[in-house]
Amino acid sequence: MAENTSMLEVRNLEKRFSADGGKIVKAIDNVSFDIPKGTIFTLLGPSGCGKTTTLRSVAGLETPDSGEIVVSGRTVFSSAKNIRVPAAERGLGMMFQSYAVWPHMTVFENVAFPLTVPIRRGQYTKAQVEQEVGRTLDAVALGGFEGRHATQLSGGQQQRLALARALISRPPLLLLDEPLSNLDAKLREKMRFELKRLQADLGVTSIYVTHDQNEALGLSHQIAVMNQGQIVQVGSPRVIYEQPANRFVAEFVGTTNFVPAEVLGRDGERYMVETAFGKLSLATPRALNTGDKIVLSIRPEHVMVKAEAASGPNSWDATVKTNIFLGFHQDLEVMAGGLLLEARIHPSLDVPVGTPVSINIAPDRCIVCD
Amino acid sequence: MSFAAALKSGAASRRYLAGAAFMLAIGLLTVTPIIYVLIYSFDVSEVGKAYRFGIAGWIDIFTNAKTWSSIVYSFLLSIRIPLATVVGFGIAWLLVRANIPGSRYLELAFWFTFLLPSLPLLLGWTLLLDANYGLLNLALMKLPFVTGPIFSIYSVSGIIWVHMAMTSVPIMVILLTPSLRQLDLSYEEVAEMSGAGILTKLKRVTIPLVFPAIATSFILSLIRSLEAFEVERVLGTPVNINVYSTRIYDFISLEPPQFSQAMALSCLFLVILLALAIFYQRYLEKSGDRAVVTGRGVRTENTQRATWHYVASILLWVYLAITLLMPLVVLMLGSLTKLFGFFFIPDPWTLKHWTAVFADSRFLKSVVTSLTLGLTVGTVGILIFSLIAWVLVRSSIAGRRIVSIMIWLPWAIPGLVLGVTLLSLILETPGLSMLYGTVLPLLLAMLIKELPIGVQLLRTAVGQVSGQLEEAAIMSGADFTTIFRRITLPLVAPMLVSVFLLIFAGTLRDIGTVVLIATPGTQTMALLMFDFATSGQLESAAVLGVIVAILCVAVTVASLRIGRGVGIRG
Repeated sequence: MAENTSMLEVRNLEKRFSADGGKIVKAIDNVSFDIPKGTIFTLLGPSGCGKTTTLRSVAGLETPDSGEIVVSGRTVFSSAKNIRVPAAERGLGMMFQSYAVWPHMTVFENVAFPLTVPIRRGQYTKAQVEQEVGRTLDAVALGGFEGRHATQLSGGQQQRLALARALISRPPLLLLDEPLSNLDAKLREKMRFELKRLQADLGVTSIYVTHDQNEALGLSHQIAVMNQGQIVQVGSPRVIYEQPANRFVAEFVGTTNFVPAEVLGRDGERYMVETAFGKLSLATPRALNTGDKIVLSIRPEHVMVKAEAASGPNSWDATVKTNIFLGFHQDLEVMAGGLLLEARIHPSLDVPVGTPVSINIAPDRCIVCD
Repeated sequence: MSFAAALKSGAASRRYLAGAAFMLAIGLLTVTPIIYVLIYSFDVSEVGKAYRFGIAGWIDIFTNAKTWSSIVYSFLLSIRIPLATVVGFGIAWLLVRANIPGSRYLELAFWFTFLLPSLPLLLGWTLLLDANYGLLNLALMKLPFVTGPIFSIYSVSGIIWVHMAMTSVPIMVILLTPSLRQLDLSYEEVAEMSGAGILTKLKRVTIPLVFPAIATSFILSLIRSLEAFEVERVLGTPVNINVYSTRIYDFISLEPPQFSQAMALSCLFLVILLALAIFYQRYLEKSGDRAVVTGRGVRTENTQRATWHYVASILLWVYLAITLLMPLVVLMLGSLTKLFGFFFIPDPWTLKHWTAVFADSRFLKSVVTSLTLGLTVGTVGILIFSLIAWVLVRSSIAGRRIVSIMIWLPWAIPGLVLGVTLLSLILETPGLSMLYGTVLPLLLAMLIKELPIGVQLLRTAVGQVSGQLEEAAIMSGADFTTIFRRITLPLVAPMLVSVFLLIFAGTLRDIGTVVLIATPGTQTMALLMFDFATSGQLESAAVLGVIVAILCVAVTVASLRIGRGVGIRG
């Protein structure tokens, strides 16, 4: 079953290059993943983590040293079987970080281009090309712009033009290389919705590369977090955010507080650990031993702040050190037991800098990540 | 990856195979003449006799004082290049960045100046600056306190002035304006916002950003200046100023010709050129190509104008009136005089030289030959050169660095020697000798001659186009031919037009390269003009010069018009 519904299978992909001084560096190190049909899969990671190289290998713009790439049941690259289908013949759609909109063509000429290349010659009549261009431009809300020169479009319009060009040949797989990184924040947010809606409407399987965790969380069905050429965790946005596999994922996706702790012992279903600000009751699926030194990841939104003295379990006294009011929420830095913690709270709570407060953390919101 | 390991994988062996084929093709065009020159620099036999090894030619270049002085003069005269670089960059900046009034027409005027063949303009300049009868000298001597002639064109400064006015400054303007135009204005605006004045902005932002283009133009002009020929011949020889290229001309035109000396002297120049080429290559590799055209909007025009913009515009028009209009007008008047340069005899005017030239059967033939040659070499040239440039910039085939050096070789030997070499190769190679007498050898010679500048300029242009624009076409399913025809060529269209014009004008004006290959049936206009000039028919030469000038203007306007229709619009 899983074999049939995979649109893209990447197996043990590796790409090495020699850095300065002849040292061999692995740009992609044994990367494997599957993308089910009709979903958005995101490669998320800092620059230089190998996500773009992976995407370009799938596209065929770069040749990996070993591994296998299967698109919709067709092997397009295999080092073992000595298969390397040229990029132009893989039939994929791609959107580039720089848009790569051709400045010497009109909007129509840009979008029609993929239908007029020699390998598709004879498949479309002139009328069909016009019809397809019209349909695709309508889909990205650029209908009526056919005659404009590509250089006369705004950044957001150029971006949608690039998307239309990538989609027009109805590719089985859409490759998106940081397509939103060149837009301003407002437009980026709007385009994020647009992309998600378009993807749902068209049902096109997409592989998305970004270093922006918000884009990754908001757009994807599955996220693969990459670091130093390797995939460190694959999962749904919720799993990646709420159950980061390690410290790198916890830190790279979202903001978090790292709290060093020492295990004091078991307490029924929970563990009791000692932190800088006091004893903390912890619920975790991981097996811990008394005396283990661990690091907890606690998201700012799980640090509950009250304008009253601490009372009850998992509650400690603290002082407000910084307060950033952002309208829809407030970001605080509070000092508890010599440790500075970030907290994200409701905007209605009025706690100026210096206010004594108490913080409260739910036992199941502390993730053991080291 | 070791060589053996590379061969194992299919992709890598294709890389080496393609590299070898590419190197062979370029080598055939560029290295063959060099090998010929090297071999024959050691041939001390008399012309027509069998090869006899000897080093007399080489000994001569190190012992002959006249040869030494010609080398010294060559370098002394090349100080015009740094001067022209400064002036040319300044003008290019005024035209593009300061966007002074009339900048489009000013730019066009610089194109005309450069494209006009040097011989007719040179005739115009001698009419103006000759110490005895030069019109400017005569006019200035009417002023009080001026007792003798002020200018003397037959001197080092005269040669430098004529070169600066005719070629050195215009070519800098032509080469630097496109790269300035492609530079996004925001780089400079950021500098301005950081508090930088115009000079700081130029020094720390603009110049560093276009430095690769400046370096390319500088090296191209420097090399070209070392082999300049006609001006030195006409202005230098009468006062014993010999340069390296005229010295070679002497060797070849002696009876009997001293080929071994000529070839040996060429080899010496080859070494200098190779050093320059390798230095330039290393610089390019270190600085890397900067992709300036990225497929996002580029703003380049500043629309605000102050008084100094108008002043600068007027000054440039005055400059052009002096360097372009004045010699042209004088040349035109000269073609209408009974005796060239004698404006003040009674009833000096006549049309008879014009009617004589039009009646000359050689005239129409030379027009046809020149136009056929210029248009063919230009069209074929930009296609082949842009293909070579693309391979050098984009592909990963082996041996690209070696090819990059090979590209320069045709300029390592002066046109005259290249002509001798090609002539011998064509006559001595079985099967090729039947080509002698047709226009094909001239075509090949001019293609080889124009290869260095064509490939270098197009290479810069291709390097400035972001690779993602081509990758987007690959992902659209396009094959190489489609990408090249529909994406790459249109994106470098402005440079294609420039290179076409350079090749066309180069072919129209060339004397040195083709003088020995051309037969009476394939004489070009420049050669006919040269014939007229050297046989004392200066008036007829002036007539032909005027006609060539008009042709040049027509082709330039047409090409620029076509060039505006393609490429980046909006």
